[in-house]
Amino acid sequence: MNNAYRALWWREFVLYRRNFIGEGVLNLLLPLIFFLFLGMGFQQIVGKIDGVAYFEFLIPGMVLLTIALSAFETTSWFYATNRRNQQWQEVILMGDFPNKRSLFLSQILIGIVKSLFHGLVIFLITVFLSGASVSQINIQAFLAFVLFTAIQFSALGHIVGLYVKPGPLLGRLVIFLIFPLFIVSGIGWNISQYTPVFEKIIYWLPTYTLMHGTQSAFLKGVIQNFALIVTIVETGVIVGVAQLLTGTRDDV
Amino acid sequence: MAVSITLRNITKKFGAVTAVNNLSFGVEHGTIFAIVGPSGCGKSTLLKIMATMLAPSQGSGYINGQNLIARPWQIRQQIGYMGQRVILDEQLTILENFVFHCKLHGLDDQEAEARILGLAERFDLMDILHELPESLAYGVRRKIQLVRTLLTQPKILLLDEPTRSLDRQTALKIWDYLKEHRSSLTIVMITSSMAEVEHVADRLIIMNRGHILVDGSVDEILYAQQPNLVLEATVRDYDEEEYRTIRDAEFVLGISRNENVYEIITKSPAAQAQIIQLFKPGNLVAFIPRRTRLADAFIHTLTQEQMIDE
Repeated sequence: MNNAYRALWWREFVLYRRNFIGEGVLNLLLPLIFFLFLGMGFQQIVGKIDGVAYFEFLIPGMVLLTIALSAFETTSWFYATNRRNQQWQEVILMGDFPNKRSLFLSQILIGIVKSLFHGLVIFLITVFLSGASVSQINIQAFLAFVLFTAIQFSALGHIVGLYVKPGPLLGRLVIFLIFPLFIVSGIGWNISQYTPVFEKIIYWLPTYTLMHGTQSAFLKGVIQNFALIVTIVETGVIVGVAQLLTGTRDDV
Repeated sequence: MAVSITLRNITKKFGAVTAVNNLSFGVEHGTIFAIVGPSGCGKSTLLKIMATMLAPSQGSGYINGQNLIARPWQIRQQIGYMGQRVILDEQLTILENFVFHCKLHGLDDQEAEARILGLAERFDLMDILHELPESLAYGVRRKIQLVRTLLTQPKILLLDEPTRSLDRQTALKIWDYLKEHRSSLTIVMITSSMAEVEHVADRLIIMNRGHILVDGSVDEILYAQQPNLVLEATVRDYDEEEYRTIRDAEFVLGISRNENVYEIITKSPAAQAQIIQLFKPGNLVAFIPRRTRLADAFIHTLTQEQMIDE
């Protein structure tokens, strides 16, 4: 890892430590509250879903939601803040970076690692609280889907951060777009409970593929090959677009 | 003397606009080199090209022996660039901004600490090291930005208006520091202060519309102006027709205006009497000859070009 990457990591840790309550705790608290309220509310009514306890059913969705929100926030705020700070990127790029794309890669990587860390914390807490068994998990498939979720939302945050100013709009995108996308994709129920038309619509959502793959890997220990291929293609497209928009040296 | 910067036929176009036009020059090691010119003449674009932040549309160049186009990364490791705008990480304190910058450039922690404390002490920043940038005045933020550029001890400093918005005492402190280190440093600066250029620069170019009008040392440029005389004329009321008449007169080399005061550059003292005749009756309040300054040479050069164009 070269100097500039180390510097960006150092900056991230300094800010994370300083904003731990606002960033770290809130990032974990929101999905956790959602998990507890949804779980406690429906556990008695639903009992079991797809053959597993309702609390247990919620775990993969909560992990994915945490990762997506955390990855999106990390990169979108980095780039949006840079725009507000009048090409602060100029200064960073004068450091030990071979080119602009290496800055893109390092920031995406920071988003991925941070979100995976948050995802791991949520995973451990929710497994502990629900008493879920982890022996059935297809660990490779589960890790693949959570990793692709982190990559996708980190890259998406990059794209959004290039065009949206930091502030309320970024928050609204999280609340009114990413959050609902995960909810309708079956975070707390099986999408077969929707009407056939709505189910078909949901089927085409990128978040559904992620959710379906992760739930299958976690709850049934099954790898959904088609969902994995679709996810890989989607990830490639999003990262490709983000990288293209990063541009050349001329627009630093 | 070794050459630090060589630019050959550099052109930079933004769409149909040519910001820098076929420009060539070299800067020797240890030189304080100034670029002056009116707003929008391509100075900042030129500096950004040298800093590898903009790729030239045409031409080639070397910075400390490294090819400008092929090896931008290697060049960046040898230069310090300070742009016109204050760009600090608003989420980090001043100390953290400095540490971050040192880390970006690969300084180890001990070395970074020594340099930060040394420069903070010298430039009176010790008391504000733990403050966030937003709480500080613009001039202080600009000083911080300049100090940050110095932290990595670059071999070449590229500075865009380095002392703008700084108080005179701070500006002098900065130039004292830079002069102390000039044996290991080449400085290219853009400035609008002719007094600063006269005070510190070894060599300068005057640019207009993307090309170089004059290239030489301060002494050479002033020497070329020696036979000329500058007349400061104060008028009761500004009159555009009167101003144009003086500007277009054969024996007037250049003219500028600051409210009711004209600075007129003439070919010789003998032209004084003729110039007085050009003022409207009763409008001339005072008329004082003085020695030529670099600012006069700047105005003269630009006026000459304007007249050629017209």
